[in-house]
Amino acid sequence: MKKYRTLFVQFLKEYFAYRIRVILSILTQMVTPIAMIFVFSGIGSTGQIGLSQSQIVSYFLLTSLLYLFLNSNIDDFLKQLIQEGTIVNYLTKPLSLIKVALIRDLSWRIGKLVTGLPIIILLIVIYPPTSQPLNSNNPLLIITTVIIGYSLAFLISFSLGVITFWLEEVWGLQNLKYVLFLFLGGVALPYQMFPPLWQKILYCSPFPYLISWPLRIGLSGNILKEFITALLWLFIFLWLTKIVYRLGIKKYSAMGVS
Amino acid sequence: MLKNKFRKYLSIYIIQFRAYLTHEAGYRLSMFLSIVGSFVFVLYNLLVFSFFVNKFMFPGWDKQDIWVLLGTFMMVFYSYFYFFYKGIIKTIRNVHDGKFDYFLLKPADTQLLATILGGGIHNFLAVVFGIVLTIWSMLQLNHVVPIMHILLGSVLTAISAIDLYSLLLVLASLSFRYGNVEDVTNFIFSFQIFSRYPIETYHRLPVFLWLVVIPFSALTSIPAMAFTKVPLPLVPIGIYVLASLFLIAYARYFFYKSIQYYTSGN
Repeated sequence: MKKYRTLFVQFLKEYFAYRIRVILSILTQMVTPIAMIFVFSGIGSTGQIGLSQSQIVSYFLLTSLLYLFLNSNIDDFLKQLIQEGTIVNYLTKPLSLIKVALIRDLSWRIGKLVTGLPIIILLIVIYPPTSQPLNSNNPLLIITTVIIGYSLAFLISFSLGVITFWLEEVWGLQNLKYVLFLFLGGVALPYQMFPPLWQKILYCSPFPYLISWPLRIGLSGNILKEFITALLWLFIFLWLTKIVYRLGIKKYSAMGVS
Repeated sequence: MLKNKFRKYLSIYIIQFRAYLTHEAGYRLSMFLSIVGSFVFVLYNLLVFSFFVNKFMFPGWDKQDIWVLLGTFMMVFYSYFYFFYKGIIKTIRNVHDGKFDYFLLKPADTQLLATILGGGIHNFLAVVFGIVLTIWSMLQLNHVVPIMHILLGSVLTAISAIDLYSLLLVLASLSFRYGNVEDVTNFIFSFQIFSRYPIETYHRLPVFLWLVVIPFSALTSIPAMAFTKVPLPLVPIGIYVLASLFLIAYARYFFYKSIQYYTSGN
């Protein structure tokens, strides 16, 4: 455990090493939700989707915060390790790469949250929300959805990163992941804007349970079904990640590694 | 003489593009996935737009006007991606790594050589898609768009792509003085989201935000106005053209002024 704790501190220090870069990266991630606040403010009445202007502002502010913590970029880390060959540093040490990736992901997500929170607070001061957009006020439910969303995002990103063992460039797949998280994860638009058939189909996919789920628990009409679906996807991606990782490690070759 | 110069730079561009294609074709699956990844963005823009347009109205713009705006957005931004994006990013990295000498030592215009690299079949296809979408949406308008408006709109679209390039060239030029500015460039570029919606959408914003958001929205709204509005709003278009000419000239001046701060890695 001590070695992973040391790694956690090291990764956190690495994250804060280039502070301007960190702030710019956070701001870049927040542009989409903030832009949507501006757009919705400009189009006037939003009653057609069952949300008031104030609820929409609150929705996007909270989504920005959730996006910072629940979006995983571990695929970038793995891609870099594999392409540069520095993955050997972890494979030849008594460390589990999956645990290292988990620690690294957690440290960066905490870093992003710490950096992004003051910006979100500033936005709340500029755009004070007068109503809350949460579909459920149960803190236990909200925490559980955050944990499931966090884990699911990690597993999907990890599986994607490991694909670099086979492909020279995974930029296209990373783009696909980015758009799916942004669009189907409810970051770009609230789910209330999706046609009813879309919503029905989407609730069977893993995407609703990634980013904005804590804000719309029970919106599908059946909380139990949502949790069962989310957990099912969690186990599917857990199994998939293990298989892809094992196959990738078998395929990998480097100087001095057999 | 102008004809010879044009031929010279066209052949340089073709050589660079061929080299890029040869490299990409070596990894066909990666190339295919890049095309898919890029088209996912096109699909994303289409879907977000269609969901919006089905629920809301934008002040001063009909449904079909909005689709013309989306087509214009694709033409402007994917033209930028196709012709300029790679060059801008590589310039920043080359300057940071001290490898910019290669461009300074060549008997060709440094700005054109370094920043107009071209590439991305997926971007070219997206431009074509944008053209098709714009034409299809214009055919659905309630009125016939005069030929002069179409020509003006096409010129304004090209100007918008060059404006975007000029803005990012100014940012890239900062790398000569301040090092790696890739993150700054990416941050400013993320403002492209404001270009997806009409300029009138942002009328309620505070002035300090308006000054940041409106130029990005104008990149697509002004050409789209030329394609859709009869009569033409001449004043905004005139101001936009003058501002664009100033930006394009300033970007070139700033780029060459900044080169004096460059230090080679050799």
